[in-house]
Amino acid sequence: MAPLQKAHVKLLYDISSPYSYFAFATLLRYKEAWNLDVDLFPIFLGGVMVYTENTPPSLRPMEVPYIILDKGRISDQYSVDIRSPPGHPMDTTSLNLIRFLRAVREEEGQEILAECTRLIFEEFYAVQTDYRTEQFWECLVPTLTKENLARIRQLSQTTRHKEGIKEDVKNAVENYGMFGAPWMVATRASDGKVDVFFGADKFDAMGWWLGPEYVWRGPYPDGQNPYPIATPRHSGIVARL
Amino acid sequence: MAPIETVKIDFIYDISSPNSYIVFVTLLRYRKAWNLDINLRPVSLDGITAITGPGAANPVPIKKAYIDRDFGRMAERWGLDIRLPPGRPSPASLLKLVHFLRALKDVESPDVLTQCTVLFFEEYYSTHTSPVAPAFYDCVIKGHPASRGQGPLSESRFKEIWALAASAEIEERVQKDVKEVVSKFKTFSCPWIVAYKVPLDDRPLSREEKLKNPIERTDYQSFFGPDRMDTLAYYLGPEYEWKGPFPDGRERFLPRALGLPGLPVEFNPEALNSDLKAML
Repeated sequence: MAPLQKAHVKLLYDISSPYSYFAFATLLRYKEAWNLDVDLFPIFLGGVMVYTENTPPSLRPMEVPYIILDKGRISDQYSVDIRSPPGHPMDTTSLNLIRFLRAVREEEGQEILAECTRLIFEEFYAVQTDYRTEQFWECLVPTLTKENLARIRQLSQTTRHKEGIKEDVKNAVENYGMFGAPWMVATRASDGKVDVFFGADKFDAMGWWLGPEYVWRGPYPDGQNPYPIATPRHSGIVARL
Repeated sequence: MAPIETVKIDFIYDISSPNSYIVFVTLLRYRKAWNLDINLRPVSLDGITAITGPGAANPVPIKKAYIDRDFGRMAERWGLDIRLPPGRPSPASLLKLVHFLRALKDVESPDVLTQCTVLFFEEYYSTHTSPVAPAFYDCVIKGHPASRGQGPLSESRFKEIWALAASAEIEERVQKDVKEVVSKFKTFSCPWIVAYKVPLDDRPLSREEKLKNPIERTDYQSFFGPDRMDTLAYYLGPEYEWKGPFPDGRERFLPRALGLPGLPVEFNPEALNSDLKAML
């Protein structure tokens, strides 16, 4: 039984962060069940790191073995394929991808943005096409027509979006205290209060905070266990998207 | 329903780490539901960060602000009347406490170590006694105020263990522990859980024979922080369910300080700590 009132959740995410991919997929799965008004907001995590002087765990060598283990098992548990492309995250930057998604958000709206985000995440992590090639952008056709895709790509390289990204980083850090991704800003329906949740593992805490009618049942709102990505197949388990 | 075979858990913690308290309480609450065999391993978080670098244990101010806020939120969700201690004693000041716990682990039973850990956590996060004051250790002699009697250690026994804790042997063991967890489990902060899954046993033996000669457990995984309990349940197997801070799933129905409409009960910290006191 979905809650009657709509709660608002703003997700600040970056393509370069696999935990953002987990949060993005899970939030959209729970959108109907929790009657959420989701506002997807692409943000440049590299900029956030520089602005807050924070370091991501990938730059702390003693923490890397645990992160690798953790990513793999959360990928299984949540059925989201984040087997990283070679050179990620040390040699990759999501700057142009975020500029593009920012332009999509302004030009096309939330639904197309959600679809483009999903396609770009899949192309980056699962298919592992090199994001610097032209071929990478072909994944967005036919969600966007070829002309529209070219137009939005051109728009994303204008000053408006290049400067806009810096504005977004500044606003996110100063208004929400953001220092990493994924960052969720939730507005409760009952009293309008706002709170922030960092990480893809905060959904049950967010559900508790939103109210007793927001029940967390695991990776899928109907409580089913998903098809694991990295571990071998068992017979009888059907893959789910 | 958890299987009869116990799940072995190594719980690596430090009193100075707030999340260690939350994970410790969670493991105690789930002890029966998941049939856990908890091996408490008090370590020096200071010693760990000396090897691994500041990193996760020493974040930038903006991240620290969020972590402190999140701790307050988690404390309420878990139904614990705890707050970060004022003045924020550094992990280094708790070194004597780590030595004491390590000495306890050597000479006393796991039950006594568990009781003392609970009492120290409460003294540090509820009563807010300074850990460098001698009065901090009164809690293990006098016990919890609710139990109104003898604590887990008598005064003479406490003095013996205190003397042992100051010895060079224990100092060496504490340092060895830190080196071991960092090299074997890649630990970089607390709380750190190492879970040994119940192995699949399909030998053609009877139940009793299997329990007498169990298969050696080689499959283990590490879990860091308070947000990996559902992943821990996923790792252990489908019979292990994570139902939130309470194994009967009652967190949704507890009264809250935020006063959501429709919940007539007032927030009463005394009532919420009752299940913790029942363990002492």
